[in-house]
Amino acid sequence: MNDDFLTRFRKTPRAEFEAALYRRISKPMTASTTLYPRRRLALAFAAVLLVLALALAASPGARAMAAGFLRQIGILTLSERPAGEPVLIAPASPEQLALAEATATPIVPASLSGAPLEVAVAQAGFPPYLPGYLPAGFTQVELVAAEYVDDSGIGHGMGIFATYLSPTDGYLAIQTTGFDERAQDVPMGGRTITDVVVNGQPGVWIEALPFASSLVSSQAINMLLWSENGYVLAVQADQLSLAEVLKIAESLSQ
Amino acid sequence: MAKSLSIPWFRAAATEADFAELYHAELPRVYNFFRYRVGDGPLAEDLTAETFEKAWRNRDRYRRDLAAFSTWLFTIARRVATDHYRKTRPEIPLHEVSHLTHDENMEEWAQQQADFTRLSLLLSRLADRDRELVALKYGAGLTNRTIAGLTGLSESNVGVILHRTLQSLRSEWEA
Repeated sequence: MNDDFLTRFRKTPRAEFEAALYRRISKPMTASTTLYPRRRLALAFAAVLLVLALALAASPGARAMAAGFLRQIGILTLSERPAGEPVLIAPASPEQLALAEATATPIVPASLSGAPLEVAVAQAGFPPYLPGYLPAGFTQVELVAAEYVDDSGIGHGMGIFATYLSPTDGYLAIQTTGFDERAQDVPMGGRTITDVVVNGQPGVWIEALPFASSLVSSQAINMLLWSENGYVLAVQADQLSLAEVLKIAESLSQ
Repeated sequence: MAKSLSIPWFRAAATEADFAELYHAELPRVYNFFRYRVGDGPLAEDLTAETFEKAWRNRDRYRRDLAAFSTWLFTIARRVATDHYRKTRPEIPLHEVSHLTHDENMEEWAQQQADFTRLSLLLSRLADRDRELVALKYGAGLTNRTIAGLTGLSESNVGVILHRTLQSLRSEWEA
């Protein structure tokens, strides 16, 4: 018996297991404020709302500060909270909890058939917004759908992510996301935010978001974010100007 | 590094490709760690799945270079194994080699399965720490240095313990 003998018993995981586990874990997750018991959370939430309402009503300065510091993009509230995870402001409803329980499924093999767009549309239940215009050199490298689930494993939206790369290490991603009605508080942490109008809708241009990916070397990225036809849309890029990103956004169609 | 991006679904998209790559690279190592740690069969798959699920839930905490990710992943795997042993006694899998046909390849496969079953039995008699080191070294294929970083032992201590454990296994195997 030697090292070779002891290592010869390694074996490759079953392909079905590998695919099924990947399918199960490859879901983006959003931090949730869902706590138990929910009644306690509801009471705490109501108390916070009451204090906030009283503070805003009593202080013109506070009203001005709140107005200056917040942006609303669809169900997303962009706040100036300095750090920390975005949170779902409301917990899952009893109906959502019941549905999640009723539809909980065991691991099943991932379906690998079909073109990426077909698979993504089938998984998300809606078609993505895709660009009619792309800056020179950018080509699509990935098109995937993923479900957003909270800490309790309850889904609260589906997104389709189209990623493009350029020969100059440029990164471009377009996200079409359909969230449920649960509002989200998204901390901006001091990022520079510029108000813009995208396809007639109010939006924001957020600069220098920390970024890390094996696809490109960029450490920061800019994002155009707006809501349109019930979807939250985002265009992210590391080397493109706001004008160029706006041009891409205006060319999007489903 | 543990960068915290401001928007979760933005972060998720940015790291999707990274995690997919790491998943496929690390899955066999984690899986074989558990096979050597707790034995073959569904239990190894269950514990592997639990490890990756925990890693995925906390993926914004990992460093994005592979070596650091591997260390972080095996830190989770070790905890999962420890929790398992707290809950239940170790299982020694029994393979139904008697049901195999006598095809030449199947005989070879059956012999390998029988050998691994026997090895698992010997491993189950080791001290918990020694078995874990064997699983990290020979199952997951980690270096002594990485194992030292995970366990808090010195690199030379890892080498000495593994050497002695191997000697012990060898004498048991040949007995």
